[in-house]
Order: sequence, then structure tokens, then C-alpha cells
Amino acid sequence: MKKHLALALLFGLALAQEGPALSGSLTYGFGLRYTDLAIVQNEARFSLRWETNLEDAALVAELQASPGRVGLGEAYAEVYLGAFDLAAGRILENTGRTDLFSPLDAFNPKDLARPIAAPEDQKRPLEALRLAYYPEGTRAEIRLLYAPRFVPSTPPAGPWARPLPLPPGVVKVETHAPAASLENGVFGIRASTSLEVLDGLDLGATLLYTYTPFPGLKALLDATDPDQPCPDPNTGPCIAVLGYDRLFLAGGDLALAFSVPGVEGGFVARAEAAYGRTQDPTGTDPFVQDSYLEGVLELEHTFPEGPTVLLLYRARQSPSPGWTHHLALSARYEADEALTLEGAWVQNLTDGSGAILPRVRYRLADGVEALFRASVFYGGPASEFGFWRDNGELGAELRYAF
Amino acid sequence: MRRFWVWVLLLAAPALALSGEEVLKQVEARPRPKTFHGKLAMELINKQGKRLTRELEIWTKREGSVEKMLIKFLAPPDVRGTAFLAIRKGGREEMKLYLPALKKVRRIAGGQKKGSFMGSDFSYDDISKLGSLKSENYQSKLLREEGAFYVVEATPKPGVESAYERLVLWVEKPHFDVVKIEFYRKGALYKVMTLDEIQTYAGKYRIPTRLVMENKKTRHKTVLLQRELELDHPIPDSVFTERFMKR
Repeated sequence: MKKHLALALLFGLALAQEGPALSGSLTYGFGLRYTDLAIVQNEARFSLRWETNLEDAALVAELQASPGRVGLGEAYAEVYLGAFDLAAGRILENTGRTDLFSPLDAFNPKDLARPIAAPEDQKRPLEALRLAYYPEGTRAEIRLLYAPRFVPSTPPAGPWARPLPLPPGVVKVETHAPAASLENGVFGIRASTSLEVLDGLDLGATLLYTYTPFPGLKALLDATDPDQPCPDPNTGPCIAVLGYDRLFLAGGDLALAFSVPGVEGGFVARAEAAYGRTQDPTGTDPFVQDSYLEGVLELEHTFPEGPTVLLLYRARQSPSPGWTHHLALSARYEADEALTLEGAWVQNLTDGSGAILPRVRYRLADGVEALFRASVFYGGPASEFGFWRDNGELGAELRYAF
Repeated sequence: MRRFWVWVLLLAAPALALSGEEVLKQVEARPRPKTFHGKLAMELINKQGKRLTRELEIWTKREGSVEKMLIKFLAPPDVRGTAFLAIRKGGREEMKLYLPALKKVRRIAGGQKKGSFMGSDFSYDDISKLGSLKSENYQSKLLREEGAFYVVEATPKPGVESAYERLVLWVEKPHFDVVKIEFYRKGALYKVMTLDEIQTYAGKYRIPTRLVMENKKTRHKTVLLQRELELDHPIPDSVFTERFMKR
């Protein structure tokens, strides 16, 4: 397969219609926590993207650099073989439909070290193979995904991190990630199609065989003899072993565009529902994370010459803590080609906490954009967003894209 | 003798004059390429004269009552890769937008089609209908003849979805080229589009290579300059798909 891929790429290079395109960006971000005036962000980031679109192939490589860290972003080769597209490399994949919360979009890991970053900036590429099949004469697409190595998501860090609820006898914590092997790989299949219903209907179904994105407690071992279980977790000394549980995620999604007579502006309804099954569907095993059911309903409306507004409802059920409900409202208004106003409000209806995230974007010139942002969190100290109520920020970002 | 010619002219005039409907039918009857592929430069100019520039690649295809259009943004880098797909089949129109940062294809629904196309003064609807005027969708009336132009008012027929209450078109007499369109909304002039630098391709297609859409309310302008045109070259249907949008 590798040989064929290389040959196809060489053939594609020979047929190149256009030279490679280089693009990139330089971003400087500054953030101030307004509760204690601490500087929480002072960072320059640089990215360089090299892209070649050939007759029968595409090559993409992205370099990302920030102080103390240089790495690859997206970097893949894709060949177009009749009704098939085959991509290999570091891939960003989208397997969901809804915004803000997307239970099915779980193929790539996410970096939630700063959970207030934009969702598209949180997703991290994953070394994977993707085979997409487009049956001729249909509007269907079937994608097969395989990542040999599971990469966990990065949990909230620093002041955003919640302490792990571990027994008092724990003196050491070890995290074990699944080793790269055929059986430990991440598998996915997604089928989607479009139908002529109302103003248009898109349907999708996704199956992912992956792992829980964040670790859970797998074992408590005796710190003096790690081959033995911890005799008394309250007195210890114990080693807490954290690990990831196999997750079978199955679900469907849709997007339906429609108009309402007498109402100017169009509507798009989107929905996603997913069942995530671990080896503990009943929630009785303390060393396996719980199964869950999650659904998201979203309604998008664009007001004539006004903002595009999203209203979103999310419900999630698991043996512990049971049902949780969220409501979110987000709006985006392009006042002109330079000024864009954005805002999001997320409310946890179960614990009463919430977050408000306004943003203003201003395009100073082609490729030069300034972003001003704020974040406000409220709720009880143990609640989902109230836990971050001292983390509210004011921030600014200047981005030059070339 | 002079009186005789006056009578001849008076009697002949109604026979020579065209109705608004006939003018629009003549506009529609002009030869149009079955496919169109080219590059466009889009300039956004605000009332202070500040300019932002975008580069686009466009493919269109016409087969019977089916019209398809795909536009990809090539520059600047922050919008590069964004793609717009419009497919019109009979009275039905489907529009989609691919956002590369999100790796998502989003539907553009009903009235959203009246919204600004990527910050320009063209709406999604304006862009998808560039170069095609369905005269059967309008009640038309010849308002006047202004030198070398017919001035025709076109009002959408009941049940026809339109962002505008009425259009007023300036049609150049010899070739039936539309050179200016005024768009009215809420009883007032809303936008004006001028189509100029008309060039003849393949000896039969008269195509404006410069389009200017001006919003009279905001005094903001968008200029579209057509470059590198290829007409009637075969374009496979696979171009007008989500698969191609993502490439």
C-alpha cells in the first residue's frame, strides 16, 4: 500500500498543475485574569502550512511553534483513486454535526488545558488512515478511520484543573495510556448522505471504537508492593493507577434546513445523539468509567441583515451523576467586512452554573485581525462553571495571516 | 411630406417597441455558455475607500433546468479553502458552505440566502443567480427607453422567493446586455449593480468582466473582476459535490 501511495504521489507531482502554496500565521495573545490582575496568557505562536493540490493527490504539512514547543499540526498525504480518497498522516477529522457540544466528534483528541479556547483550536491532529468512499450517482459518503495509537485528550490544567477524587491513602498517581498496537487502535466508520426534504436534509451515522478521552481510576495498588492491591485505601500508602477505558460510541446526526412562512430568514435544525458504552454500563464498577447517553438539539436562525443565532440544548445521562442538562445561546454578527461580534452563553441547568463568552473581531487589513475577548463564570464553587468563577479573563489577540 | 413621415413614425412606433416581458425574454435568449470556469478577484471597498481583496475560483454548469455553481476562495489565507456550492433544480435551490477551519459543510437555509456572501455586498442568492435571469419569475414592465437602453421594471411573481421587492434593469438595445440593475427593498433603493467591460467570447458570448455591487445604505461596494475564463469546456459533475468542496 505504501508503495502504491508513493507512486501515486510521484505521479501526482509530475502532473502538478500548480506549485505548492505556503501560508501561515503569527499570533500574539495576551490574557489578564480580572479577579487578581494576574497575567495568564502572554504567548506568541507561529504556524506555517505547506499545501500542494495536484490532479490526483494533495499534500499538507503544518508546522506549529510556540515558546518551548515546536510540533507538527496537520500533516498528511491524500490520493484520489476514482470513487475513493485515501489519506494518511496527522489528520483532523470531523465526525459530528452540532456546535459547542458534539458527542460524536470524538475521533481526534482535544487540548482542554485552557478550556475557553475556541473548539476548532482545541482539536489536535491524530496519526491515522482515512479511506473515504463516494458511491457513484449518490450523494452518500462512507468514511473508514483507523488510528494505530490512541492519544488521550489534555485535561484542563493549572487553575482550570479539578482535583481527582482519590482516597486519602494515595501517595502516588500513575497514568497508563494504551500502548500502540493493532488491537489498541481507534477505529471509526461514518456514513452520511443528503436528501431533498424541505430545504435539504443531511443524515449521518457514526460508530467509533475508541477510549474515554480522560483517564479514570483503574486500580489501587499497595505502594510498598505494587503487585498487590492496596489493603486500606484510607490509610495507604497506595498507588492510584489511572487509565483509559474502551468506549464504543454509536450515534446518529442530522441537519435540516427549512423556512417558516411569514418569518424572514432561514432555519437550520441540527441534532446529534450518541450512546457511549464502556465495560460498566450499570455504573457499579469503581474501576471502569460509566457508560452514557448524550443528545444535542440545535436551532440556527439568521435574522435578515442581522446576526446568526444558535440555540442549543444538551442532555446527558450516566449512572453517576444521572441526568445533566445544558442550554446554550450563541450569536455571530458580521457588522461589515471588518467587524464581527460574537458571543456565547452556556448554562448548566442542573447545577445552575454558567459561562458568558463575548468576543469582538476586527479585521485591520487583509490577513491582520485583532480579537478582544472576555470570559465570565458563575455558580457555586463545586459546580461545573462555578469552579472556574475566579478564572474570568479579559484578553486580546493580534493575528497576522500570510 | 413632413406630415406623412410623422404619421409613418407614429404608426410604426408601437409595432417596433418591445414590452418589458419581451425585453427580458431577449435578455434570456442571448447565447450563454453551458459551462464556465474562471478566476475572480473580489474587492470589498468601504465608504472610506479602504479595500480588502479576495481571490476566487468559480465553476458553473447548466444542463436543462439544472444549474450548478461552485466557488472556492484561494486568498487571503484566512478564508482560503472556504467553498460555496449552489445547485438549482427547477424551483428548488440548495446552498452549502464548507468551512475549512471547522472541517464542516454547513447548509445555507431559506432566508439565510439573502445574507452577505463572505462579507461582500452580494448575497448568496445574488451570487448563485449571476448571469441567469428567469423572466418567468417576474412580472415585467417597460418603464421607458433611455437613449440606447430599455429600462424595465421586474417584480417577483407571487410565490417566488426573492430578497427584493422589485428590480429595475437597464438593457442595452443592440445586444440586450444588462448593464445595470437597481434592487429595491422596503420601498427604497437598496443596491445597485453595474455590469461593464463587456467582452465577446467565442464570437457569441457577451460577458461582463467587471461587476460592481453598491449598497446604497452603507455606501459599501464590492467589485468582481473576472479573469482567465474558460467557456464550454467540459466540467464533470463531480466538481459540484461536497467531496470537491473539501479538497
